[in-house]
Amino acid sequence: MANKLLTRLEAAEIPVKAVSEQQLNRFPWYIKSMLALSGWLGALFIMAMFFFAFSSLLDSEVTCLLMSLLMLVIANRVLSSPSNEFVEHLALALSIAAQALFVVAVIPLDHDELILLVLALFQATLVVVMPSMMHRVWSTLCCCFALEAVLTPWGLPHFLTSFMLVALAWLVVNEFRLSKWFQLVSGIKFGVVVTLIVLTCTQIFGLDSRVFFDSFSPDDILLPTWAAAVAYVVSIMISTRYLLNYIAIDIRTSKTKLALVMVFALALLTSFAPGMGICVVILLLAYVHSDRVMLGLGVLGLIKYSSTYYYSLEYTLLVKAGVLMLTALLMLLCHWVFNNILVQARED
Amino acid sequence: MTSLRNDLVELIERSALEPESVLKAVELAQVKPSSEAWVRFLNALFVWVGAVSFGLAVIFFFAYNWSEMGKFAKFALIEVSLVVSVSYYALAKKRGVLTQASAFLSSILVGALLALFGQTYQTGADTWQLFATWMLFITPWVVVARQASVWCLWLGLANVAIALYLATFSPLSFLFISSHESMLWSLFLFNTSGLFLWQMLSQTRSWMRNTWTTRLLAVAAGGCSTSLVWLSIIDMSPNLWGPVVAWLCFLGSIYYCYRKLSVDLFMLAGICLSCIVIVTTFVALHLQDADELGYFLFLALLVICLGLISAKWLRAVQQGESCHGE
Repeated sequence: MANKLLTRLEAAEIPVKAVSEQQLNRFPWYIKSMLALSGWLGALFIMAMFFFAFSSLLDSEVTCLLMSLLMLVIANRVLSSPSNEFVEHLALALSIAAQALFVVAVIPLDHDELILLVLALFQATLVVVMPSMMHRVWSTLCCCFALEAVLTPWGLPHFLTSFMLVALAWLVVNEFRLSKWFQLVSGIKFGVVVTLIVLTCTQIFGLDSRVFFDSFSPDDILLPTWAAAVAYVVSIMISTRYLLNYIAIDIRTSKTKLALVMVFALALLTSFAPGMGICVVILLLAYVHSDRVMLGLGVLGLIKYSSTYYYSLEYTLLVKAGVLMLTALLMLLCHWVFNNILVQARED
Repeated sequence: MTSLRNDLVELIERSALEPESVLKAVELAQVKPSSEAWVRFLNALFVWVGAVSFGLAVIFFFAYNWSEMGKFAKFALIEVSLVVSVSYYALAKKRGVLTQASAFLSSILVGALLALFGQTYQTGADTWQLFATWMLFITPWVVVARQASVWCLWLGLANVAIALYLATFSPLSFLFISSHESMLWSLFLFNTSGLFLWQMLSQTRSWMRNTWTTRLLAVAAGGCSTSLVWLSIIDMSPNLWGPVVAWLCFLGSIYYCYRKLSVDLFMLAGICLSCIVIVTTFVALHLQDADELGYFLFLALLVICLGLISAKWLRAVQQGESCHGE
């Protein structure tokens, strides 16, 4: 397979720096998983050893902070040098232990939103600094979780997912244009995908979770719940617009406007089941660049959301059944319109 | 998708391409789907999402009204679904994905019907009897269907029935073998026999030649044998040699079949993982009286060494296979 691409590049006279077959022969996923498990096992013993050796130093926040930074530097050096999955996961475990120490160091700040904001900034820095795809995905996930938690006391738990959807569309469309920062963009992209799926499928930052924050007050003025639905619909439309522009479809034609009306109707309907709309957009964005991993994540997200939606208490089962039935009918209508009007128009 | 995305990504990550050449390379790697591919994808998306939404809507609706439904309505729902799926399988002109799905769905619905029967009439049957009956009832269909997925369902049911039976009864307690141990031994022997039979029969039957079934059986058998040894070490059992000999014989057979007769990296990776777990546990138990700092340091170094040796060996096997392939 690697030779096929190299042959095509050679035929098109595109210069390729020398890359050995060994560098192109990666381990399959099951060997990577086995090495990852072993790496984590080894890292657990190393962490236990550090804990027993330096436990007295962990009483001070300053020492925790310094140890955390030292461990992050070591993890960064290990991840920067070429290595196999085993060493990579060893360094990942070291970094996560360092992040746990950092959390211990910032807890005395004693203000929930400030702690979360500091953690979000810390993780955002790690996304840029740590040269590992897995680490970037993890740090993006943690950063988004911290930001989501910051927004929750202000009654804005669902706005971040809408913003992230638009950001994801932009990242996918510009993935290869930003090839100099490809690993960074890829890490953030997958981190955003995982975050979107986890947030929509677990719904841990609902409005009820506001009571856990120190700044919570029942007299706070909140945005109305329809504002989140509006943000969701707008994000779907913007993502669709990005997609159509990228695959060079003129949005000024009447047929494209019809397609946008169908998308708007679907977005409006799925605002009652936002996880479904988000996962479908993930599937579409994954297909733009034939990204099988992202396609797999989208499918898993749809499957998981179907059980989350069943157990969610926002609407009754009857309302949810109605939403799903209307979505099914609208999807079948889209199928008919797509094949009998849009595809026909393109062929004409 | 026939794109060469993974190879393109590999080249970009290794900085083997100039930034100005990347967009051209994207075109050559056929990363962007063609218009026809988009039409097929969108059609599949609309149909599948619509069908799944429809199915979920029906389930949600029935769940909402479940307590108001009479027992005949509940039985009718499952029995009609079963008749429809079996009829589709029997009457379909061409065997494809839909007939495979209908055979699998029919096998699942038999279990749902048995569960509903037990719940409605409070038969007092043990749970293992439900799974054993389910397994027996679908056996003729499983043989006729000749599908790996349905056979895996059957094997899964057999495993669950054996495990639940031995958890309830302890037929070997007179030999001072606990129910947990006898369960692991039974599952190990059952899955190993299944793996051996499947591998042998797949030589003459093309529908059995898929790697994931043999891998699933190997994971089940390997998991049981590793658990037996692991538990014997943890419990400091005097009967350690029996599980260890069985484990070594199993690993030896897997090595012989999947390194000498053919090469399957998945099986070899399983051998490595099993060895790492057992060796680490054994050393951890026998050094637990040592100084804590030295104890964890030694274990960390042991796991690191074993992991690196495994990585090197698997890499050598993989490279040997790619050279052999060329």
